[in-house]
Amino acid sequence: MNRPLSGLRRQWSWPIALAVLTVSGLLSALTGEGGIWWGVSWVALAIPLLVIIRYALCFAKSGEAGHARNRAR
Amino acid sequence: MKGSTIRRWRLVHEWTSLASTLFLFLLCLTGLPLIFADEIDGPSVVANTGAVRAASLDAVVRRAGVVPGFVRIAPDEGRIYLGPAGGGQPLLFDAGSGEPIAGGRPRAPALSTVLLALHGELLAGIAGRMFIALVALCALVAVVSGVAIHAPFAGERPFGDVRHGQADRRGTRLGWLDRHNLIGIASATWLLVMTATGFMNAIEHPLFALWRSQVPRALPVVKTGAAPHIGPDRALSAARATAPGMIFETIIFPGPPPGIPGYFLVWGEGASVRTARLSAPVAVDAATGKAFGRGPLPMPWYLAALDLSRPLHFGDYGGMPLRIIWSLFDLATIMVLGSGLYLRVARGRRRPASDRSRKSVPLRVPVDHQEEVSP
Repeated sequence: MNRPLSGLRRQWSWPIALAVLTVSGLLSALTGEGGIWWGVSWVALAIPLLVIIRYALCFAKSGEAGHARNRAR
Repeated sequence: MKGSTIRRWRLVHEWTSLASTLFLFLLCLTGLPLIFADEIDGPSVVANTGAVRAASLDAVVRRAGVVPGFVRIAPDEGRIYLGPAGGGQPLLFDAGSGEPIAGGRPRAPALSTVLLALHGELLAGIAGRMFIALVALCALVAVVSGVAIHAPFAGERPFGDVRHGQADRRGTRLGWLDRHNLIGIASATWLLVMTATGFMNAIEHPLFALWRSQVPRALPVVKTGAAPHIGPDRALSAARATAPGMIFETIIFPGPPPGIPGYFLVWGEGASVRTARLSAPVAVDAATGKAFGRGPLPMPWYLAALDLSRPLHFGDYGGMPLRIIWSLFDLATIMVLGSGLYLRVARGRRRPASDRSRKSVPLRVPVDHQEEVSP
């Protein structure tokens, strides 16, 4: 009972959190009255971008070497 | 999720992506500079003294010497735009004096106008718009199906894990597969909003045509055909008297689209933050100068949705930081497109996986399906 639930949670907790952040970021600047709401929007929307930069844009040495070799072929 | 279900979603994802990737690249590349259109075109304000509009619209129309389709007052620019009936570049007038700017000649199209024509209609007018709408729908399905197959492809590994496996072709491919999944899922909500609002913007002409075909039914029939008895000044003041809480900018003359027969349409927006994005027209009888009803015409849901789609697509509603965020998401989209294309090509030329490589990189269910659907 616990195992599949924890598996689902592991797979979806981050995507759902990022989706909620994105939606609240998009809407807070749209409906909020400037000032603080714009700040909320910037922070909320920056988090998914930071996740991308942190995890997707790190290239391990071996990976890069492999990529370069692929190119050279 | 069952294996066959995953495989079906996967096929949907592949083919909708394949159909739209080339155009999505173009949309990303033209959309990126458009985010900063104001900066690219330079300040549009010429000696704006912040003075309120003083010029008579009637006088401006007389001076223009063309059959007017609309006049638009741009208070932040200190200008009045006069659009000829039947389309064409608008003529410019000073909002204070009513004098023509640059001889009242049509303004040369700015760089952003050209980019927008490429982005919004592939330089092909209404046909291009309909095509872009199709591309947006395709992309919408691609994003939804991509989210649907995210979990099986992410497997049991923790969120954000990118396999840097061996430095061979297969390792590189797996690394890019993980990046594609990660960037895709992190920007999925933004992509959903972008494709849905892009679709709405692409079909704005048909939406307005639909509304125009319905609105005369709600209005009393008035005599049409003859030249209007009142001018835009009277129409504007009638609209202001009827809806004092609104800010009016555009007056559309009675006649063929974008107008309707027999009535001036005076378009305005609410003055409060919550209503500022929602526009609606006051209909003013061109013969009597009387506004219809007790306020603006009620707007159908699809035009309200269109009004909200514009800022949500352009990203121009939260200052410069929001524009920068938009541009970073745009770059992320380019990476998703590029990695998706790479994965497709890499899969195409991949040799059948040997048992050795299967052992060296533990594979999950979906990768096995990948073999299954491989030609």
